[in-house]
Amino acid sequence: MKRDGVYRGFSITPDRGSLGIELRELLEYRYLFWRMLVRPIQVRYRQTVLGVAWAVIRPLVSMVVFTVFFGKLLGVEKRVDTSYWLFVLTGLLPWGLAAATVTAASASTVNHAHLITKVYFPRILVPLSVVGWTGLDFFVGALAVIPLMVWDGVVPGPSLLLMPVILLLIVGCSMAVGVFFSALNIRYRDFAHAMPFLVQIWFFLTPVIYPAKVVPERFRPLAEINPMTGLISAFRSCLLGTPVNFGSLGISSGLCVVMLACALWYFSRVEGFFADVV
Amino acid sequence: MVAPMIEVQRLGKRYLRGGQQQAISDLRERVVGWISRPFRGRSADPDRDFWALRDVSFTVERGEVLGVIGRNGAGKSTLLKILSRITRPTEGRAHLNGRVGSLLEVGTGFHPELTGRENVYFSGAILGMKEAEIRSQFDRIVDFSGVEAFMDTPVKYYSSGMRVRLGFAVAAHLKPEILLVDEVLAVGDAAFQKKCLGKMQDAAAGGRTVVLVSHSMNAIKRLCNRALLISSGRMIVQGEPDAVVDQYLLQARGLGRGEATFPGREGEPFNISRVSVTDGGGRVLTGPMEVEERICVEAEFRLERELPGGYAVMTLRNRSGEVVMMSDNRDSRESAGMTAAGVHRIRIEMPAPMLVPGTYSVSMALCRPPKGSLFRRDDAVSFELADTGGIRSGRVGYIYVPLKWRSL
Repeated sequence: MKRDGVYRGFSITPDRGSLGIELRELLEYRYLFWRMLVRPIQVRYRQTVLGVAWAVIRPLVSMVVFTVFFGKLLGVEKRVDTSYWLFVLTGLLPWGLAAATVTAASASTVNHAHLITKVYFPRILVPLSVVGWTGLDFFVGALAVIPLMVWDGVVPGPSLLLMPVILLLIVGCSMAVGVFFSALNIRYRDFAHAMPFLVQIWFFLTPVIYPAKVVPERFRPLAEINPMTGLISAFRSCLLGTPVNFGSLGISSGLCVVMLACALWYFSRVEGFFADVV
Repeated sequence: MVAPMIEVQRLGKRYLRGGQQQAISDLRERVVGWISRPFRGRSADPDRDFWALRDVSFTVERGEVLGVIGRNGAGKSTLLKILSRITRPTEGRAHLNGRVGSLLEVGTGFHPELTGRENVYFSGAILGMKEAEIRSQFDRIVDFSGVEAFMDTPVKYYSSGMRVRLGFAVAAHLKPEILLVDEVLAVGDAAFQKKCLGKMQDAAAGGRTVVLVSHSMNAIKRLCNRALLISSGRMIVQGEPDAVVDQYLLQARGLGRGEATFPGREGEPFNISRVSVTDGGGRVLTGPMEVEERICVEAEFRLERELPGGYAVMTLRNRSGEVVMMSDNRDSRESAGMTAAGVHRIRIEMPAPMLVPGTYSVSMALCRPPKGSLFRRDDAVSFELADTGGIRSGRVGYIYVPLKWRSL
């Protein structure tokens, strides 16, 4: 038998001895993680006619709806410096990534109950792996939509270089929420019912279809507690070449790191009991 | 010094009886403990505690094949789930000294929309194989499965047999140092089961350490060099497979008992209160009978209420636990069935000779159409058939009905 590396044997105890997720073990399972990232992508648009075009249609149709109802009928477009459709689109793209990641990650553990009760692997891979398809959907949507903006005459500034970091933070933030709810959902299915409208409430609390400045002064600190506020605004500023609000982005990044740490800690505390309660 | 491959010390697993359906009695406690408690299942109420496994200790040396036996619900699967890290124990500890592969079902991780090829890679990965391993074994896996022609067809178009074969093919090429197997042998046709047994033997011969949970006493005897008997979560005995299997059959399966009575439980509307095996004269058996002697089974059913269409079923099993025959009261016009409320006493006469010499257990069940079994007493009693001084004692097969042999 080949003796590879240092990973030799393990102990099973009532409580996980070390704190948090074992990185060495995750490394052992990297090939499985890769397969779990790829599998939903392989399945997602099978037996559809339009296929991956759905990733473009969704944000575009939403954009049209919001432009007509909020922009024109409710007059929000007067409060925006750029054209409203562009404003909405640059908000809907990252929001779509966040919402899909939160929703899919929350439901992921229950959806994988058949695996969780039959075989061991690091459970955290289940919620983490949804980023495979939510990320791909985002990039396909962005690749199709961004040329539209450039054609409209918008030129991103040097802040575009910040984009990878902002995307990472958006994924990290939504993953934190998703990982947390994926652990709760396995015991209390109430969250499966609550998730859609929780995400919708979050959507309206985040400046996706309205600019952050319409929030009254005394509610500003409250709005900043929502890490998505700074992230969505920063995403938009990077694309449209407007100045990035670094204060807001900083707060969001800090929140994001704290949330992610808490979610991973909670998940690692309870993952050993998933198979008993699912 | 060679360390044992598996070392288990006083392992225990507690579940909460009734689990989810708990009344919202103390809202404050529920809200406070809400977030951390649900997974711990810490309860101060011993009435709701249920130990699926308790105080189990053993070691398995390198290259050993350990068989785990016990009735349904004895805790075998819980033990396997703890060892394969699917669930965590409540107390005790275990150390596994090597790479572990566990096979708790065939075709773990198959996705119906994906092709056979894609599923081989995913299933291999989730069972713990590395990419290079799957790649190098791929042709052998496909070859073993016998479904080469359909590797690019989505698995949802496979027959269930094809799916099982492909699933097992992946599992069979797993090369862990410790293999944990649960009842995988029970699926598939006889030829497939034989193939599986062969693979298990290869694994053991190749120096791998195996823990096998099975209801097949034949498999345990053939494959294992040690066996462990679990009953109600406790380890009863471990040792030579033959001896442990015999003790299991004797204890857990009612062997050596000619008569059994069961008090009814409060609130249970149905009960089978007595089962016995008697000779032709109605005397309860105390020892072996000759194959030619007539044997009867008597039973008493108690119905608190009417059961439309109700009927009784008797099942005979041999020493290996295989069903030899089933019979129900609708086979015979002399029995009234089990429809009316009250006490029903029945007597089943078996023709003789009918079965080859051996030990048989008798199970009784109360059934109703269309769902079948409603209440049962599995392996309630047993009887032994001998052929003292005869030529039939070592005969294989199930039935012994004298045939006419003529010289021509």
